[in-house]
Amino acid sequence: MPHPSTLSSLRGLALAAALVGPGLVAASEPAEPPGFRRDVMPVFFRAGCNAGTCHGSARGKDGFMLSLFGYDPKGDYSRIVEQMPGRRVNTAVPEKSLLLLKAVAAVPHTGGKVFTPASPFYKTLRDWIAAGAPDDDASVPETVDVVLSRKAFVFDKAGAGDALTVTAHASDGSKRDVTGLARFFSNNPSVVAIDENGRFKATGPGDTNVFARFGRFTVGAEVIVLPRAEGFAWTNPPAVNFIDRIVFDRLQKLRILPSGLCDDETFLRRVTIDLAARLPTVEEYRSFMADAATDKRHRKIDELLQSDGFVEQWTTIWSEHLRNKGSTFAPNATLPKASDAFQGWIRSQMRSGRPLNEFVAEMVAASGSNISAGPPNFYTMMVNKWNVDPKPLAADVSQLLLGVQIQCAECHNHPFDRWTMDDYYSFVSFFTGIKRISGIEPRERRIYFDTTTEPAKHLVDERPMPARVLGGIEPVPAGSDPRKALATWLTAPDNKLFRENLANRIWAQLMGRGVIEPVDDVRVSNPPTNPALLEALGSRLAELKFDLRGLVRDICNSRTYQLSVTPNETNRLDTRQFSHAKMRRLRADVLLDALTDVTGVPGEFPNFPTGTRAVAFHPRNAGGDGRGESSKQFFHNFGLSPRNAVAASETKKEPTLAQALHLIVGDTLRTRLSSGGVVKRLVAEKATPEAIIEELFILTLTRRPEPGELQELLALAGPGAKDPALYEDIFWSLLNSTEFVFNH
Amino acid sequence: MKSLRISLSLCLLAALPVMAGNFNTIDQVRPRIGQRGTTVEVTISGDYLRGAEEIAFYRPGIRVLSIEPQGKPPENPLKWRPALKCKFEIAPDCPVGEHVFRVRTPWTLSMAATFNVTPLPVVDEVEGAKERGTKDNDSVASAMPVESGVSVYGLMDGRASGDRDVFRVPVKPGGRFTAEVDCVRISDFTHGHGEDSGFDLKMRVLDAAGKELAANDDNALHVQDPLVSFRVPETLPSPADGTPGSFVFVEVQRSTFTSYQAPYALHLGDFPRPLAAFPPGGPAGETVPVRWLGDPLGGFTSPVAMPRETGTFRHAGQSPTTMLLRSSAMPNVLEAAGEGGTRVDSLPAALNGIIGKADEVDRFRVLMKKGARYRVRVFAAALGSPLQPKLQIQAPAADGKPADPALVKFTAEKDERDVFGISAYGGGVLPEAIDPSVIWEAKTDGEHLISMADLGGGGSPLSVYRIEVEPTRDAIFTVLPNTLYWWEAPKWASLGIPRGDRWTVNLNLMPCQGNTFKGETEIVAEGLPKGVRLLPNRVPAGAGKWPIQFEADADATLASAVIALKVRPLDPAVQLESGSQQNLPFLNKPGGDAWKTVRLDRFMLAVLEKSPFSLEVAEPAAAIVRGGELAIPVRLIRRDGFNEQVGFQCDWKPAGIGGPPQLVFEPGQTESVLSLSADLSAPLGPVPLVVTANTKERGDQGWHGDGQIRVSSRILKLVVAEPFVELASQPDSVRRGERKKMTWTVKHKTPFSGAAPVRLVGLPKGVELHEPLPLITSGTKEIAFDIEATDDALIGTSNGLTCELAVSQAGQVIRQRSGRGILRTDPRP
Repeated sequence: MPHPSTLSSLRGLALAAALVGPGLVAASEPAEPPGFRRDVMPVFFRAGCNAGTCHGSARGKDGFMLSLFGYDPKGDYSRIVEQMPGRRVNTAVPEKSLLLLKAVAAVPHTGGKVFTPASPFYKTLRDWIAAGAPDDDASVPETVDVVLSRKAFVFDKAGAGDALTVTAHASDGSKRDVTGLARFFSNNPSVVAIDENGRFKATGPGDTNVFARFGRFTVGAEVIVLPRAEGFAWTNPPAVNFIDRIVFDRLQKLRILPSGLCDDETFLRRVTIDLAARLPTVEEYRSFMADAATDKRHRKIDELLQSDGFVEQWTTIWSEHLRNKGSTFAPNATLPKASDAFQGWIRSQMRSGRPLNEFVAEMVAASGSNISAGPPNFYTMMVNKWNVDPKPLAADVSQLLLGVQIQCAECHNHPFDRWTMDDYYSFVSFFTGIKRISGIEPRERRIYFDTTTEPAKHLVDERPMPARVLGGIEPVPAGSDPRKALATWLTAPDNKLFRENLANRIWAQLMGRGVIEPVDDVRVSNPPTNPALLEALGSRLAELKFDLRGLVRDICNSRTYQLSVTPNETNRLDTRQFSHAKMRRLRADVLLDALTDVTGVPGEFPNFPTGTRAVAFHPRNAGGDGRGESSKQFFHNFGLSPRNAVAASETKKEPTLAQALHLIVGDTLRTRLSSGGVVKRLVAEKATPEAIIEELFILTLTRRPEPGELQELLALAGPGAKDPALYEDIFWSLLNSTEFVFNH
Repeated sequence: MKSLRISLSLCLLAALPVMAGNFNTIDQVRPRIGQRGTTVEVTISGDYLRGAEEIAFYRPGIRVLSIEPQGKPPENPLKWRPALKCKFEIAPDCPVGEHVFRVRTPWTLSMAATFNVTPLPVVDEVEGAKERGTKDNDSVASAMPVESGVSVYGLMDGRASGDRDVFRVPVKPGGRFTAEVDCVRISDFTHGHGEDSGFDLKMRVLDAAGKELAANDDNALHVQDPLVSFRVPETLPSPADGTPGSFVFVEVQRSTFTSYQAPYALHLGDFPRPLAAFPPGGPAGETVPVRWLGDPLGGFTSPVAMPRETGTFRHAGQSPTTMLLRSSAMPNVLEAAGEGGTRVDSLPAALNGIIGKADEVDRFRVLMKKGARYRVRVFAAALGSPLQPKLQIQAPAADGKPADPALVKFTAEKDERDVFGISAYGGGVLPEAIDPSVIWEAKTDGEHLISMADLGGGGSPLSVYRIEVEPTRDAIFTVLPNTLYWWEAPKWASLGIPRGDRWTVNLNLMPCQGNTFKGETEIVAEGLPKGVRLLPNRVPAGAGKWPIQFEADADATLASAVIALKVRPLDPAVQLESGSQQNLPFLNKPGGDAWKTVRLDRFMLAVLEKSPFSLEVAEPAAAIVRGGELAIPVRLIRRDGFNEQVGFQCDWKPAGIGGPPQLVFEPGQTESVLSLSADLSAPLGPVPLVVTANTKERGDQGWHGDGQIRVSSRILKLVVAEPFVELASQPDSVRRGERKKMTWTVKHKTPFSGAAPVRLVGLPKGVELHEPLPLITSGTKEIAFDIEATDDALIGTSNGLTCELAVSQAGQVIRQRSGRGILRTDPRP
């Protein structure tokens, strides 16, 4: 969890307090003595006293503990007032209260001087103590919303600035300015820097967000700092669909020009890898290049959407997300049979085009056998332990299906999002009753929800927290399996979090980066780089009735998807706004299949029949038959998801030295080059070295060699060369090229 | 056809992994199926099959016409492991399904093995055929053509690329087509190293264009064995080779890839394959109309005659494989429509219903009397229902107060289901154990509510259940403790009685759920062949295990017989039900549970050739005393030049009596001694003692039950008595170089005559005991040992000193240990 550096430091808060104009606080100063929750707690927050590095840590600091960011006001009151009576607060002589003496460093304080006796924070605390350090009565209004003065700022040049004003809305309808009590941070200080008082300044071109936190609320505003306008002219590229309209609108606003459209060769390779998880064949290449029709890209997309490769690709992606992994340890209920059943079910759903919301809903509400049905394995594979522990399961479900990481709220209200501990424990209660019992055969476990199980208990006061959807108000009715209500809420078309999470993951798969990135860290403080795009993608997915192929079709048909990787002067530095295609290393399984296909040597995978495609592989240890060891190493080096967690980062995308070395000297390529007989066949079939080299280029890179490349290679070969070893060297070079290993 | 079948069998034989320590008397039986009304050549391979004289089935239907050992005997005939080529004549009315048999040789009765009977003609799979121009049958294009209405005997082979078998079957458009696989259910693979999944097949039915028409992997009815039954589309694409007619293509594959071999049967035709029956049982001896559910052409009803004998039984109907139904000693109650629940007029009753849709709850209102105890048993998964039963019993509200919390149960232990004796490595999961079975004692008079739902909130038109509610009964089953790890251990389970000799087994006595009877009983045998006797026995109250001994006359006919052993109370007024059980786990895996269990309700016994050796053990004339030892002479009588090693042991060890593991008579040896010990808490009084002996063809694996020829001593009476004396001493000390007396007091417990020498044992290093040893006679009150500590004596305290008394009585020496002394050794002053 990135904790912005602006929050981590306590130093200089005295200065911060001094900078806060008395007017800001004075404006909200109550006529009556300060209230504990309304006035005193915000001081602890603003001054950093209840931060994780200070008294907010799990065990407190120097013998004094506050709840992290103030999630437990009742406990905090008790610790301040009741834990050491007369010491931390001295109502007779308020200035002698340890609380104040420490804050102003009148006695030794590890945190140093937090504010001065002249600061309004000091006055708030002193007045409260002087009033007898009263606790609030039950009717004290709660903060229910926090609003910023503006939601977006655009600056034409660096150096310009503005300030945020933060207003808290209370449950009794009242509002107050809490700018002086809030804390601020910027997501990208190289674009905009913000100070402790919400005043910010543009530092360089780009777009980012600034945030204010007050209480359990984090709210943000977008800040765009435009590059220089001189020499920029919008070229008005044609928009194919809504995606282009939104992306280009944004680019125009940011003074970024999109790259040009990629050529047919690049498109064919890109879309075939993306949709069918393989390289185009030589025949497909020739046929596509010979096709002069203007709609040939559109038709190719439709053709590939119906391919087995598309099914396998998305089966594997979901299987990874769902941590489908067979083991030999029966009590975990993840034996190979269960894993196969799950994989088979996912495949059938992807093949039939089952709406993704129905696909998810069936799993979430699933009961029954883990081997005669696939969906119950949601509760075996995602858990992969002897017993179902509802807390990590709830966190995983949230992360996977909503993109939201709620686990922070197990111990304290989420520091960078809106989720509270109440939200967390109520969500956990959807899973507290999940049980497994033995089935009718030894490998089988049956999943059911035990409705007599108590709901999760709140960490602070052990209150039972009945199952309630995230952000919901009323718990779901007790006495029956609450997962049905969860599945309905989760997968409803109007659940923005769900539809945008799915849409964002699909987008990221095809574009190499999510509109929110990482795709499974959706929070207020990690907003989409193009909110309109994410919203449109989510709405479109819902409009398409959660048809995966439908959204993929829209994305692939967009000009945005078909842009070249080659940048221009304006978009060279853009990594967030999809102004050019992103170079993406092939997934480990797709790369291995590509090697298999071009060399004609099938892969061997542990416990799978020879000839299984890597993209159809899912790890399942059935005791090990000694086969496929080299593929295991390949997968490891190229970062195939080990499926140990639901995190999207389990699949490694970055290139490494080990990968380059694996291809250069490893078994995977070395043993395949000659044994497949591809080169020998070409040498026998093709009349000229040119023809052989061209075929090898098309086979591996989906393009003809450039004249320079051809010339160099022919010079190497000599006229009429027929030595297969020579062409094997060329073949080896092509397969070791960056161009082969990347989708571009 | 025949030649291919043999080649299949040989192929399997060749592929059988060699497993160290394996002592299966039968490794495999090939082929696995035969059609009734035909004669089939069957090859049985395994150990100890030389000289096979009889193949004895547990039920009628198959007659064995011939048994021929294969190959020539080696020089040492004891090492001959011939496979047997047999001819099975299967009667036209032979029951379909599994037939269990054992092989009787002159010297042993084999472990159980199985053969399966189908009503359909058997066709062997031909993987590749010249006439078809194919090298395999792995695709629609290369499918093997077969007729409809056959059972294909196929082999899922172990190739690395994974086998696929495809069969082309003619079908009638619009008609029913059924395909059922038997693989797990006909397997005879008793041990696995993760190969179990190799027997788990899945099936798809495709049209000529490769479009899937139906598919199945696992199902509630046949578990791992797939089945499909569907209405054939009115139009089907024609096969690529232009063969006229309508065809479907049945593809059989492994569910989870492994590289092991598995033979299977694939039954194909237009026969009905109901997936559930309603009601799934009825009153014993009555004919009940049963509605068959899950048929693609709509359900149908047919009468089923319930057997007179109560229990679960197999019903074949019009299908080539059977379904399980219940015959019960109670009337049927069928669930009635309506919200209020079904009223049940009287108990006992069998409540039958279907949880037809998700979240449905069926309720039965049942009158119960306060204090009455009922056994409430659910049958659902046990009969192949997809229901995961959740049984709930709710007492009526009394005096306006809330009723007791409802009893909710959704599973049962095996012994609650009256299934005993499966003590393989993992315990064995059985479908029955997923169905609850409880004892319910009514605490109030009135209308109780018995309800049923699916635990996971599911429900389907096939989710049939039956709840049998009846007053508890007393019953004790006799069970042979028959497995060790994954095998049936012959030493413990086999009932082979040598002519003119005897054999003993330790019989487990297992009370049924709700049994209250705990009195004295005896075991009686039913169906013993002439010339064989079960020797009189008397089983103490509450015994869970007891040795019983059979004896065969010298001229008893060499033959096998299926018998029952029953528990009979000594008090003739007591009503006690009894029966026999032998549950043999098949298709096991290490650390796991059996996929398949052969269930037998009778035992097989055989009269064997006279053993070339006998055991003679004289009844001990003296008692063994608590804390004492008793050496019992054992004599081996060798005959006819038999001079092999013979192992012997005391398999039956009464509580508190210990003995050595297997001892051996080496060649030429005929005398030995068995030393027994009694611990201080051994129950007093007479207990049975028996010694068994066996040949040791395969070395030191006696604990397995290895050995081909086995005999038993008579059951002897061993008396456990109080110790003769109790000895005690005060803590004492001795200095290095000092010689002194260590004094012990003597308290007499059991009188003995003469003088018994006493030795002090457990002295520390360097402290010596000088003779003469003290003697104890009837009047001795105190004894003193003469001890001396040398300069090497270990300094410190030793607290393991005890006295060993040797009492000579009735010609035997009985050793007794008593007392615990402490001696400190000090340095010289």
